[in-house]
Amino acid sequence: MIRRTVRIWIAAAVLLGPAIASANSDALQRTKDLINIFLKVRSGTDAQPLSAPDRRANCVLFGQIDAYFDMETMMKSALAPNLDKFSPAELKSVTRDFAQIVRSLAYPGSGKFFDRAKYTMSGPFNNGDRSDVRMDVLEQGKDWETEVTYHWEMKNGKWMIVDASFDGDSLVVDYRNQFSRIIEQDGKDGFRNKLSEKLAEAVKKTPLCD
Amino acid sequence: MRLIPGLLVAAVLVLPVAGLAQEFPLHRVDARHCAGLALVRNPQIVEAEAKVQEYRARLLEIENIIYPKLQATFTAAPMFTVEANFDSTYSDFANIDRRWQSIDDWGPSTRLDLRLIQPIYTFGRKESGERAAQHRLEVERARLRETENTVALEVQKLYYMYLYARSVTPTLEWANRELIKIRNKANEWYQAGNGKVTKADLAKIDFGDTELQWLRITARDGMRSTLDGLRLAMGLNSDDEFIVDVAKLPNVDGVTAESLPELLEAAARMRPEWAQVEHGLQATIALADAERLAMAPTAFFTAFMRHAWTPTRDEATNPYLNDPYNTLRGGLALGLNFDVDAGKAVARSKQAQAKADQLRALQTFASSGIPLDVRRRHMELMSAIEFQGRTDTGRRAARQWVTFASTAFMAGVGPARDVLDGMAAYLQATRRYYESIAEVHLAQAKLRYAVGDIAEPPQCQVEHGQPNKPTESE
Repeated sequence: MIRRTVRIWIAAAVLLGPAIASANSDALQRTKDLINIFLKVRSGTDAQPLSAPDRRANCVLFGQIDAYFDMETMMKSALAPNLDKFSPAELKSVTRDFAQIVRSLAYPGSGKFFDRAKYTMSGPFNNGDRSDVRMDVLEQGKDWETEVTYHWEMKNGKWMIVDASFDGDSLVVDYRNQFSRIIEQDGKDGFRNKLSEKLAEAVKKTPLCD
Repeated sequence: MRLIPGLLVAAVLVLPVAGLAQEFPLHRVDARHCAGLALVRNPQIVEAEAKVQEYRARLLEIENIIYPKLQATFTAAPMFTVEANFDSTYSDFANIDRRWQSIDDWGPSTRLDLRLIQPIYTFGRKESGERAAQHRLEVERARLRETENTVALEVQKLYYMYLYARSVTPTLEWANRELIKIRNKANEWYQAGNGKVTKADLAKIDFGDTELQWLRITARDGMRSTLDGLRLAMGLNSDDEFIVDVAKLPNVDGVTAESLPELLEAAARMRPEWAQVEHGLQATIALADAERLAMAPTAFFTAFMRHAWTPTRDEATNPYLNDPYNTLRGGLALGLNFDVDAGKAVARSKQAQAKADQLRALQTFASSGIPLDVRRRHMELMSAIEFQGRTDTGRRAARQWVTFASTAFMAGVGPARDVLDGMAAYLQATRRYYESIAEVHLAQAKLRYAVGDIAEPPQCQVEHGQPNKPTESE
């Protein structure tokens, strides 16, 4: 009986081991794939804005980048202390606005950033349900060194980013505090207005994709 | 045959360039190269080396006392005619005929004196003089090491201060670029009257800008002046190109100080002041011996010869007469030479006393001052290492300040003020960070100077490359 149990466990380990290793190595591969997409994003300047074909190409890339981020989980976590104040529709609305802000302000410069920066990746490191990939980045022109950690969770069979840490501190936790402060000062509607104003400002710089 | 014109053309094109490379040598240097070049070419070191040669020559002079000396004198002069019979009574001077009225009455008078002297014995004076000169030479060698250590410390100070200015420059230039964008955006908001900025905010930005420009100018001028100082310390000419082949201050992670007892023991062996004291005292004793023997004679052996010829004068062949005009004589002799100068002996004795007083002062410094110096520099290094760790933490914190303020501002949930304050904090933290790294390097150099082993043997490697003056931003 004991020998049979041991054989079952050994067989399970042999069968499942590669699958677990493969699942973990996907997080690192996913990070590399994401960076490769970022590198293709084209950047314009005030003097030389992007042409229409370049903007269309970027929109395609932004759609691909979106697939790597679980904005819903991130926003739910950031609004956790105040989640009961938002209806499902309002939650969906703020998540959409926030995602659009990130698209308009963060995505366009990402290609230039990763092109200029030197970075090394390590991991993935198991962190409960999460798999963390660490990137040490050096922006030589600014003499700026930082450690970015991408926190991945398996969602519907795919690794998705649910948080990022800078020098060990979580971005989502900081947003949680920022959002809570605003909601306490200005209420839920004040918070929604701030996001809307920021979005209006952001789309002037980078128009929304169709 | 076709190759020859091609080679000639190539030679014509290559030769001027090759000459140019030799005319303006280009040095690519790091800390070791800077120190190496300085140890070879620094004017203070060259002067100290010349002093060593001077005392080596003095020792040689004393050693040469025992070598034979040749003295020779030759004179030629016109002489008139004197005729007399010196074989008869030498008192018959009435019969001496002197004629000088006619040119035919004049002729040459030559004289040659030769003396070969071989000193044999100085009654101990040479030996004590040699001892004094040898120890004095060792004192100058120790002074040369002291000069090398001083120059090496100076080079390291200039080198690390240059790298400090160079290290902070990228952050300063980045801050300058960002501040321009921020000022433009703030002016735009202010003109739009949207309440995001007030006049006080604009004034804060302008004030911050003046501080930033002061830092940029200080960094730029710091790089220039330290490079000029390095050029002087390395003994390079004004048209010698050189570039510092290091972009930033080297990291000091893991740097520790050796144990204090080990450092004190090393200083007792290596500080050049000890050698100066030891050899200086020996030289003083030997000099005192030499001065005591100053009035002792020198025994010598000599061979001498005199030849005089004056055809217009009769030769006196009487052996009892000394005829200085026509003679050939010589011989061998043993002699004693006395040089008695009481005043000089007293003055030299006082000089020896003064030298002894100097050495006693140096001994006092060496016995208490050097260990104190080592302790102080050791403590400074420990403090610098500790402080550097904290500035690393501070810089990281300021970086997080900027990062999270920027992400909050980007999301519309954080004020721009936080980003500006974060940037100012990051700038200050970066300056402090690099300052602290430079302080560790300088503290290490000062400790090595206190121990006496800062000057490494010259290992300079001169390389030729593209002329490239240091730029203000990377």
